[in-house]
Amino acid sequence: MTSPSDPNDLPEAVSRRVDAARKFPQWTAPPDELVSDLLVSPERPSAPITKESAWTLDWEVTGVRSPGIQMESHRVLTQVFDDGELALTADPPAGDRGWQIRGTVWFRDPSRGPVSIVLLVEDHVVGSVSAQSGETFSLEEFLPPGWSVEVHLPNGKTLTIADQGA
Amino acid sequence: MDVDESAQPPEESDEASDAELLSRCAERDRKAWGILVARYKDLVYSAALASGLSAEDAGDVFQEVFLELDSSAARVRNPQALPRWLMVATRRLSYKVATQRRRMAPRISKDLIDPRTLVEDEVVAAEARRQLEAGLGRLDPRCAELLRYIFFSPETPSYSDICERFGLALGSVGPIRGRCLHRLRQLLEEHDD
Repeated sequence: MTSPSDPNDLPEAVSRRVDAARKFPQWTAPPDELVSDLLVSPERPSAPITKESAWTLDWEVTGVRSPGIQMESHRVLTQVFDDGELALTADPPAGDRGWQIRGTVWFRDPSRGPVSIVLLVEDHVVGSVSAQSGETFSLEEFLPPGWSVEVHLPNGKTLTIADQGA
Repeated sequence: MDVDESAQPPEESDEASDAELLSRCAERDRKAWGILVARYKDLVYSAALASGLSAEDAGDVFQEVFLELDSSAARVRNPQALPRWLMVATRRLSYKVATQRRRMAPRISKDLIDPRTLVEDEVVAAEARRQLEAGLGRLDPRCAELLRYIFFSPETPSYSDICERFGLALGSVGPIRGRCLHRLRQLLEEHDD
């Protein structure tokens, strides 16, 4: 008599999945209240998507970098655009904190705004914040190489600042 | 914010594709959102626990992953690979929670941040388990319990083990097992279509 769990004695659609699923043996449903919380309609607005890319910008990496030392470096960026200016800094992780991205956007007309700042890892929105002209914004996350920052201006244009990795 | 009294997850049997659901979520369709949550809630929570987190921390990661999905719905480039997308987010956020709370930083790998370190076998295993559980969830509960025992017991169970555990006569185990497997196969093949 074969074992009741013999894969050769299971239908193919079942055995194929059972073989793979045995590598993921612990399967646990979350508590109901966690699920209910998610189903309450969030009042948060969606992160904006890029409709018109104005510029793709590069960080200026500061500090000494050596080919033999895999260290992240402080990054800065300033950029004048149509009717304003952007200043950004990115500080690498230290201790129990991740990358820290801080910045300010100034418009010649201070009543313009707000801007939306979106922090991305590939197609994951890992953080977003909005800020008025002259207001400092800050985002902090643990990020792999290849992250980027989008600054969505009130005129619909987007400034994209891509990280070039360590 | 008022709690929606009808905030119960929809049936997993909703057959809309992940691509369709993501598209509807990007338009703030809360029914589509509920179906996606129901479809992947166990995968995300189980993956957080598999990262080595406590139940409390896994709960926080669970919430954060779905908030990230909510924010990212319009940007997901490959909706067919949504299980991978969710596992990438779960691993990164597990590292964040573990590190910020300093509970287990020495035991959790920084590799969890990097999507390139998530091997395809892990995604295939998690998705296979999710599909199996979705099928099992639509079976009679006793059938589901029997098949889970057969599939996932650490020690390969014998027919007599099953008799003892489920109070069945030896001669009835084979036919019951066969009927349960037949129904599960039908459900899984419907999914394959």
